[in-house]
Amino acid sequence: MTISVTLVRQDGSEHAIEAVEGESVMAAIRDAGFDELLALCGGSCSCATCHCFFDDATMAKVGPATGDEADLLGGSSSSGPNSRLSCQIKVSPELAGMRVTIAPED
Amino acid sequence: MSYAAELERPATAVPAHVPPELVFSFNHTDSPEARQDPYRFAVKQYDRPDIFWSPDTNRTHGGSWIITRAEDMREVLSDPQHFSSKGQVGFAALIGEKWSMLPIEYDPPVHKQFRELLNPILYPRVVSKMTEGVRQRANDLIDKFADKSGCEFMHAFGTPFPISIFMQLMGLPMEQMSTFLVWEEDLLRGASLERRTAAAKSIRLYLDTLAAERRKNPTDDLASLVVTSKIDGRLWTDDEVIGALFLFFVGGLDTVASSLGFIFEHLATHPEHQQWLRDNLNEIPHAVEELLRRYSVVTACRQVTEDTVFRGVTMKKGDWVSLTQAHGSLDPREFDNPLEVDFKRKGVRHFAFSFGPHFCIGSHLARREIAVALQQWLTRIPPFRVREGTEVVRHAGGVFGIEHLELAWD
Repeated sequence: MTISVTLVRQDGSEHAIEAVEGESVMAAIRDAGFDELLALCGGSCSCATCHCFFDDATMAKVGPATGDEADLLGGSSSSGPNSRLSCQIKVSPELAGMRVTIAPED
Repeated sequence: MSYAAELERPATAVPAHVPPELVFSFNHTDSPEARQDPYRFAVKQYDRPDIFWSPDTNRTHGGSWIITRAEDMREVLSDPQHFSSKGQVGFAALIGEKWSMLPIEYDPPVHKQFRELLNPILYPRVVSKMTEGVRQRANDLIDKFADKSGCEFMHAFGTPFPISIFMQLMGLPMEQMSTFLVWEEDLLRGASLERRTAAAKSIRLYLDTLAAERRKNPTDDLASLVVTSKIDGRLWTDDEVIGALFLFFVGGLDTVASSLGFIFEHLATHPEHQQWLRDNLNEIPHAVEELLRRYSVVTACRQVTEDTVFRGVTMKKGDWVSLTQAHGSLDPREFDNPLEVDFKRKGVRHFAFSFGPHFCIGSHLARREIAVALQQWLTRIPPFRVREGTEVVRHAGGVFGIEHLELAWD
């Protein structure tokens, strides 16, 4: 099953993408062909290069970053209350319609 | 990163399951061509099948599969079930012992447990706190040659700089620097097997003593964290402690020194790039990513855990697989003009820090070290070049590197 996601790129342009339930939001963005999301470590929560901003309603569902992820985000100059590493967010039906913005490169 | 006893071994017979059409030499340890320019040597392998068998790679283990394409490398590096990291570096074997470097030679799920304990000490928050110290070390070294007309880069800066950061991390007195320099040089490039073995033993002994000391008087350094933290409710065993300390010793020194060597050689031979960075100091962090892509230094290994067919190639349990990061970082299927350094390049998805669960634990610190080195050099030293009449000496092997680089400025 897939859900619809609105992706906002670093240049501000908006794109509708489909994300497969169970995969990570990072994988969904990369599979849709948006290479500017580097995800250097491939989803091991080690590199912090899949940093995205999620809309408020989605943040209320997934909660803020904790532990290692919060530590990693702490190193980004653009990180804020809506920041998460997209490799740590699993696509699920309740996230349908979410709006994800790729953070600028540090 | 297989260094061990490579040089002493002749190439062995090709195993029966390897078809003859997939056998090619990839001697990245000591062929003259690889020494001359390991990167041009690496990219020539793209003319061959994407995956081939090299009898003279990883000779300690009787040859190895070579994976040359970025996509295949990602697949291998994110599949520890079929491609194990056990024994991939082999320093313990050098001194007849059995411990594993930790966490780099461990597989999931144990790998993840140790990794989670070690991660926080090298994450960005900590690195930010260390930055002032890193800058101070860089400046201390630059002070020694800033008023001269040049220096031999590796001796004056490339090698001692990361060692001084390691010592800061481990809480070691700076007076011991010269001892560490000799050990590291002997361990990685000692002229004989005896020298390399002797260095491995000395380092082991030193780290043992350090661990014992920190057990008695723990402080806030990395060595103390290793001897006081618990896994499954117990303290780490002696083998686990030595495995982690040894990794931090080896992992953070040679790799950063080698990367710095290639990066400074590049800037010395590309004055237009050097000037652009001088004019755009705030672009240094992104430039570091592109330079790490162009000059990825490490070759990692994995061992096949069960008979398998990977991308149509039959691999047997026990086969070794060799992954030269430069192959992934310079793959023309991923990057246009891969050998060109382009500071404006987008989507620099390089392999300099590997990929998957073993993604370099020190990547955040390594990047910071390299960026600080560039910032301090470019603000304190005038435009530099390779000194006329001198030769740059490079080496290939488990970590590509620079042995001698004479820089000059006016």
